[in-house]
This record gives sequence, C-alpha cells and structure tokens, in this order.
Amino acid sequence: MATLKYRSNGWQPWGTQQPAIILPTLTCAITPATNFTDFGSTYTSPRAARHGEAVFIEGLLRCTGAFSSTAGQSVTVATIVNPSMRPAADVILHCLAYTGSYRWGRLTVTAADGLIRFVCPDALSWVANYYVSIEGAYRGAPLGVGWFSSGGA
Amino acid sequence: MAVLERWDEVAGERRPVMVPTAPTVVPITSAALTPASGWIDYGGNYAAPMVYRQGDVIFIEGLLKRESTTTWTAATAYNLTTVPVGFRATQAKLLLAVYTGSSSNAALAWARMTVNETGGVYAYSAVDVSWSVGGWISIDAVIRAVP
Repeated sequence: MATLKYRSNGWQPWGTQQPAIILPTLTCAITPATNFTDFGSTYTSPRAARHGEAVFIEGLLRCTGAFSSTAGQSVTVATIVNPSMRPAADVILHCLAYTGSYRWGRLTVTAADGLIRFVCPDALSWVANYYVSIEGAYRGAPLGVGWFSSGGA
Repeated sequence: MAVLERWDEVAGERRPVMVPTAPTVVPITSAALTPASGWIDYGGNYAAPMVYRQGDVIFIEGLLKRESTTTWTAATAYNLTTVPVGFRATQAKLLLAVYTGSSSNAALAWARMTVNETGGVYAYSAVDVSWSVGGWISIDAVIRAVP
C-alpha cells in the first residue's frame, strides 16, 4: 500500500513507500493517422495499455489509399492521444509492414506529442489494404493526474 | 484502481488525497508449448518453449531448432506451435521473429510472426528460405491477452 498526494506537479508519492503497480490495466484507443485505419477482422485494434510503468501499444493499421514514401521517409501512422500512454522519452521499436511484400523498419514513438511514425529503409508504394503493425512496449511517461482521473482519451 | 477516499488540509487549502487500493497479487500460470513437426527445443541456456500468463500479460518463450531440412516459400504461413486455451489473446497479433535458416548468424533474418486468437503461432518469411538442420527461430514475445 502506498499513498499519493496531490501536489502542484500532480499526484506524487507521499511518505517513504513508492506507489504499487495498480491493476487492472488502463487502456485507451490509439488514433490512426491520415491514410490509415483499424485493420479490423480478428486483428488487434489500435490501443495502448498501461501496466504500472510498462506501456504496451498494439494494433494493425490498414492503408486506406494510394501514396508513396521514399527510402527513410518518416510516415506518421497514428497518434497516442492520452499523455499517460506516451513514452518517458522518444523510443524506437522494430516494426513489420506489408506493401506487396513484408517490410521491416523502425517505429518511432515521440514523448512530446505521441506520434507513431514508421520509417522503412526501402521506398514504398502504398495502396489500400497494405498494412503496418504497431505492436511494441516501452516505459511510460511519469504518471500524472490524467492517469488516475480520465481512464483514457 | 485508485479511488479518492479523503481530503487533506494544506495551508488552509483543501486537496484530495489519493489512496490506491491494495495491490493485487496476480499469480503466474504456465504451460509447455509443443513445437510443430520438424521443430525441437533448441536447448542450452535458451528458454524452453513455454507460455506464461500473469493477469492480462502473456509471455511466449522459446527458441526452436530445425531437426530436418525443409524449404519455405516467401509470404506463406508455417506453423511453429500452438498456444493452449487460457493463454491466448482475444485478437491476433502481428509481430516480428528473428531466424537463421543455416544456423549461422551471417544468415540472420526476420519474419512476420502471427499469434492468432485460436492459438496458432505462424511464421511468414519475406524471402524463400532453405532450412538446414540446426537452423533456428525465436518465438519470444510479450503480448496482452484482452482488449
């Protein structure tokens, strides 16, 4: 058991005990960016889930229309709206995509704005129904009022 | 989940004090995974094919080794194992897996790994693969069970 106290910088530990991991998990939706939507079917819907310090992001995003990206271009695929689900610092994860063949790239999640961006070392021609998977995990941003009060954006 | 239970007076100002409920002790359960035909546990210090579950979090572990030669066609599903009931996510996950078809690190590559809602764990390579005896693929993954 630990106690949190409301201070000018939000909820903070009070006393010598650190806050325990609180279950159940808090979850919230991740918003697909322009050109992408929830893949649907049996695949995981885009969402973030927080278990204590750990944040899981998950989902399969389907491309909705044709566009091109150059090798190394950063393509915004989604946004984590809830600040409590963003990383403590910018993180780079591995990422799988399909654009006629399987592609590997990096997934960057930025702490300041929650943008999830895919960067592939190859030039890609996207068309409808191609997809990118946003499965990954990282250490979440310090807990604030939103963590306790909102339940997600 | 934490709940507001009381208030505190700080310099004459009334502020809420958050008192979380006692942390829940969530047990870890586990089950062995049976490698699909042609695959065996790599052994050594590597994780044996197992699945663990603690609350909503599922840990899939294992390094599988080829015990016979075979070939894979790119973008085709090949079963690696099946996660038993009770350790499955309610929705399918598309992940990445590291493998080497020749047991040499010089041939390291990645594949799509799907863990579907009916327990199937499948790999899809990006290119054709000629598997030698001793080639391996890692199925290590951490996923969430529920939406």
